[in-house]
Amino acid sequence: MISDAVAIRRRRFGNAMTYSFLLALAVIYIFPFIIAVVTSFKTEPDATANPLSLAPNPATTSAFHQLSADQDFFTWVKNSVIVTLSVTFLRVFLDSLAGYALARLRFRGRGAAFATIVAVMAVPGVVLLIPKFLIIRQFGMYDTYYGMIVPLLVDAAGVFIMKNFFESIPVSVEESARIDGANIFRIYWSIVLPMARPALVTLFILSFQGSWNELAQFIISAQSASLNTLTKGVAQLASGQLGSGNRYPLKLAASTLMTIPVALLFFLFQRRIMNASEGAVKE
Amino acid sequence: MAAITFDDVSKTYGDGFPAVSELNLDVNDGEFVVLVGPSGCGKTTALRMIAGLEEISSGEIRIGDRVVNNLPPRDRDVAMVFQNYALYPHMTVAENIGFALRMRKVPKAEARKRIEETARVIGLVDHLNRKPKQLSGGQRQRVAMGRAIVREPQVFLMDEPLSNLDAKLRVQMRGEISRIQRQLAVTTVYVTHDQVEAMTMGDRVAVMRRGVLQQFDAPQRLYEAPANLFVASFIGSPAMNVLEGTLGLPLPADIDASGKRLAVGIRPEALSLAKNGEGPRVRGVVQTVEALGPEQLAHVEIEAKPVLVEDVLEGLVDAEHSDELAEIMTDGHATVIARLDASASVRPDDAVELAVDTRKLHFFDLETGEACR
Amino acid sequence: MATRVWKRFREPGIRGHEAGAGWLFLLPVIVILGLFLVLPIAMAAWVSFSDWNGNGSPLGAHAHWVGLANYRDLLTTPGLDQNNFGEALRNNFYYVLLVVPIQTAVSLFLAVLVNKRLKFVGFFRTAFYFPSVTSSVAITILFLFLFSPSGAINKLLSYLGATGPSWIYDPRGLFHVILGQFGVNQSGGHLANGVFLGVTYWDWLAGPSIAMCVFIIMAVFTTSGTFMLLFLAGLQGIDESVNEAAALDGASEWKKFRHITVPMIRPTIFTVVTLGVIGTWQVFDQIYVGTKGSPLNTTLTPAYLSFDTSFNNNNWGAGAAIAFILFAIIVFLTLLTRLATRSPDRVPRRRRFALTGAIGDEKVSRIGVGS
Repeated sequence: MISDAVAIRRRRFGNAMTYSFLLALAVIYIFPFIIAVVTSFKTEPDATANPLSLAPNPATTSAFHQLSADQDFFTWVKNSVIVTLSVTFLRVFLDSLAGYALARLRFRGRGAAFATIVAVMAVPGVVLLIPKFLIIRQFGMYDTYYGMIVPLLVDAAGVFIMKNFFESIPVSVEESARIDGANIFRIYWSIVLPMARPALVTLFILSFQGSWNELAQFIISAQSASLNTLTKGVAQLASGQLGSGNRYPLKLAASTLMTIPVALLFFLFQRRIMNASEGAVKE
Repeated sequence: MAAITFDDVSKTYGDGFPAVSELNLDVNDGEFVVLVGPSGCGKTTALRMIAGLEEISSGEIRIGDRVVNNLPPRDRDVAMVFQNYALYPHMTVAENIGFALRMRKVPKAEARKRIEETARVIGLVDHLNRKPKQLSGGQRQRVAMGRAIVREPQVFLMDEPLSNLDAKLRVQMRGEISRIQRQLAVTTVYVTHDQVEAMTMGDRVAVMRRGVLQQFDAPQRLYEAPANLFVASFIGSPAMNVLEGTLGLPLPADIDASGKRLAVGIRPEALSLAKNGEGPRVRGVVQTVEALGPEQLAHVEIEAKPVLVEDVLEGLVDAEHSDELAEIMTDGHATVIARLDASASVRPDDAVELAVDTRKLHFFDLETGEACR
Repeated sequence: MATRVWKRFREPGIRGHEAGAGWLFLLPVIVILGLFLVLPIAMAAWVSFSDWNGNGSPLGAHAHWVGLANYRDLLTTPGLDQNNFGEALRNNFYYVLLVVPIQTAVSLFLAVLVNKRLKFVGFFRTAFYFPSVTSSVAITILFLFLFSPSGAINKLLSYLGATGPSWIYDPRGLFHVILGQFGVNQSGGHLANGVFLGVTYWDWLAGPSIAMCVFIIMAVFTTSGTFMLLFLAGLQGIDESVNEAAALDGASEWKKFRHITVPMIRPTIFTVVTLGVIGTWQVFDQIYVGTKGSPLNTTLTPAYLSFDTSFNNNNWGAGAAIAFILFAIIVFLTLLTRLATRSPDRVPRRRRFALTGAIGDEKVSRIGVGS
């Protein structure tokens, strides 16, 4: 029989162990980002000579000046914003439409449609790079916003999330609306969509993050510099096609800037994201 | 306002399960009709067919003189209160009540007036700007009622609207719904599995079982003249005592019992402690006594065979008379329940003689389960 | 017949024009998925059997049917194509072999740590998840900096008295380096002469190159947060009383983890492994941003090779063929993991019986105490 004091001491020791593990890991996970931010305020020689130092010597904002003076960078930001916003809003809308039809509306072929969407979900994205390029070119959408945006507008996973959510809403609410005189479109727009807010937020976050961070789709759908997004532009910057030297402060400044929107979204909707894996269940 | 007519209505689901079989029912204009029966008896399906939420396999439903078989719910001019209320969670009370008016493009000013009037009727004037989440269960129930009232529909449909409330609130709301219905005189069909609700609220009550209408009558008639063994054991609490044979009790002259196996049904209040006089009686030993204040229920084991046909058992199971069911199942003896005066002195193990009020006896044909008339 | 259809359309019945609305709601999704997923796959399949060189439309006169030639070049005909493909397969194979187990273990470990009821646990969850939301471009740039020859990692190693390798410029295979420590170097004979897919047996055994190790570490760093969330959901599904019962039975933390936690989250483990395998065979962004396959092709992956062959070398037939072979590999491995999941699937079900049995016993004993 262990005495209480020993048990408590043991538990304290256990907690201390856990905390030290957690702290060490947190340092490993956070430190690289701190270095990235700090280095973007360094000069190139300083960054190369003292890669670990957290005190820029001398501190300079020249990397940011350089970026803001660079017309290209603004083009990248503009394109990323255009593409991300179009993709996110349209995708949330189209996925929720399809999810609702699959969850609630009765029509012949519904099962087959759902099975197809699930099968499509299983096709790995990278395999589709060449096929997508071929079709975008065939449709004359190459090197246009349409070619960059339209293929991203629908994702089967989003349809799946919305379908699951709609199925968790009690049918009687929709039945009540039907008796109250609402037609299908009205029920979808005024009743079901507002009730699906948690799932819509989840899908919004996933879509925003996905399209903001997307690279491969933009590589294969456009080639003009004027259609470069942040990911594509910064990637080209990284492979050193522009200018000489390692230019790490500049590259890291660009990476830091492009991370800000998703980071903001992440901190804003932290709790929602942390629960996303549990599925979009009703509040 | 309108009458509702079921004309040979059947509903069969895809898997061949008949939820409702050849239902014929006439609900008069302004009448309050309760559909009651054990779960799975088809009462909710019948209600949803009136609403247009369930397709009709065969037969015809008319609201007023319109056949509504193929009419979508919104064109039927009916309002429905759901068991879980089905309030729109993102709308305020006022928006919930006003939604149907908005759908019908009622002018804003008139809509506001009607919403306020309705709020007064249901007593939620001070809560119009709250969301359903901020309301108590009873208040949500009222909003659901309000949503139906504001429509001024031809028909109210209610699907177990009180089953999510606690016992006290349920009694209170029962009275309130009856009052509102009388006041508005809207034809109402009300579904419940609770026979007390059915008996206290309905102008007429339709008892259903396995998709088949058993009896459609005024509550008192159901009690006094049940059409068959199922209705007899389903209606009434405690349930009617049903025993095989006639126990030597005298048959009314108008019953032709020749060649039939009979069962006799005795309501608990038809039994009383026998005084010295003459008259038909049964003898037995008291098992338990439940004192209920003004009266007491004596469980008396007598020399008779209980009736164990399905009609009776099912009626008992679903009317939540499970303890009586347990008693029946124990041994070959029958236990009858007698509703006795509080002053009667009975104790367990007493041997008693119970006088039978022969005017209140019911006789059934054991083969068919039908009452002998 | 026609009139009946017409009548049904005119008299829609109680559910209104629901079928029409259903298809209308689905239309955008179906059209887009069809046009940008199903159709392109068919088109790419055709290209993989053709000699199209990027001029004009692959459906026009510029493309000719060449049968299985593209596949033969990759799989059976010795040459540069085959050599590149073999190396890409080897590189990605080692990448998968290391990343999948490590990221599964790390994310499970993180999940167990942050599943405890401790203060600040929310902060730690956030910290571990954060790398998952950043873009692969930003992370790759950061890792190129950290792992540059004079970068932060080597600086750190020098503080510890070690000299770091030149990381992304180092093509040496990890296993070769380790074997070299034991004096085993490239031998002659069978290992040097035997060749499979244009790569010698000895080179098949190279392991991931030091350069590839950077991407391996990066993959673990960025994905462990996502999978941690999956595990966390699994862990929170475990009934606390099971752990308490085990604790009462005197199980140590490790034994509880080994005999209670792991079996109960086995389904999640298989999900994570499956998703891991699918994801790790698709390495593209990092290579595109970081190394483009260098040094000496040791960070080349099939996904990048497929892209490079098509877009940069205009050998579209071969590029499409690589994509389809990669597709086949991923489908095959997914089915394999499915198969592997099937038998252990019965374990939780049995456990459930055991659990209800235990609850039953408890009831019995309680009744026993009561009477």
